[in-house]
Amino acid sequence: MNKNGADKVLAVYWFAILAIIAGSVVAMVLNFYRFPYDVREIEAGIMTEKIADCISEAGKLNKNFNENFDIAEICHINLNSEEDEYYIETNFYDFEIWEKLFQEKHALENPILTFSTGNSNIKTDCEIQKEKEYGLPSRCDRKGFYVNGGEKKYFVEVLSVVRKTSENVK
Amino acid sequence: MNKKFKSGEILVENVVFIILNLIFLSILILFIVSETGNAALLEQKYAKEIALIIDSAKPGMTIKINMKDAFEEAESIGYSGNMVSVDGNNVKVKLREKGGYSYHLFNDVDVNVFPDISANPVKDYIIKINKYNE
Repeated sequence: MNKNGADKVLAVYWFAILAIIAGSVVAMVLNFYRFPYDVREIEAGIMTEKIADCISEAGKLNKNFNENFDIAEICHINLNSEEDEYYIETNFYDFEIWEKLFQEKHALENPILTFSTGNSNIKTDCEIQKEKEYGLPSRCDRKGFYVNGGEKKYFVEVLSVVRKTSENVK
Repeated sequence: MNKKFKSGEILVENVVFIILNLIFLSILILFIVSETGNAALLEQKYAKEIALIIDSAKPGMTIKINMKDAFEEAESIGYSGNMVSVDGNNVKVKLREKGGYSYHLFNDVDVNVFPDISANPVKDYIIKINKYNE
């Protein structure tokens, strides 16, 4: 093969390489941008923080706290038409019992009080994802904190669950 | 003479080769730019961003959000209407006549959202959290 012929063969290979690179870039870009932004984890985190801020006012229990505490109303949370997409659960434990269980590395059980709102069915998604995170189910955020209730001291555990699959997962 | 002709042929081949490569790369870059900065994607991005900002905000707060790329995109499409609105518990971002993206808020607050017209060109939106809804 003369030099001119060799150049033409090389040019064909060169364009073949470019086509492979272009194909890969296009595939990667399309694959990345066809999925919506998944903000559920951040949203669940914000919700937990908001509830924690509402229950504990500078470390002291909210003055409106009673046995019929309505989280949504007191904490200014409006789930409205999207009620099925959220679940909020707040468990109050006796601080001394919690401390003992924590030191003995036992799981938390028997809360003194539990308040919840939203769709309780999506809570199971949190259990499924304890070992491994999956794409489709709801996103959960669980946080605990100490709060001084005057005569009693509590350990409060807040669980927020956000489903919103259609807006965050394709 | 013969030698001159051959040199010219090589030069033309190389120029054509370089031009084709440049065209190819330009198309690739244009594709990436159009995919990453399209109106639908920006609508979704800002609707979710603003919804999360409002969800984490408290009454009395005023937040300024830079939306330069959204303003540029809306201008390039020829859309001059209101870009961000809060209707009840939904944030809607609209950068096209036919389009828009809504995202639900859970924070029960009264919000005002308006463009910051103090700057020229306008590139920011102001989110003002007034009070909790009764």
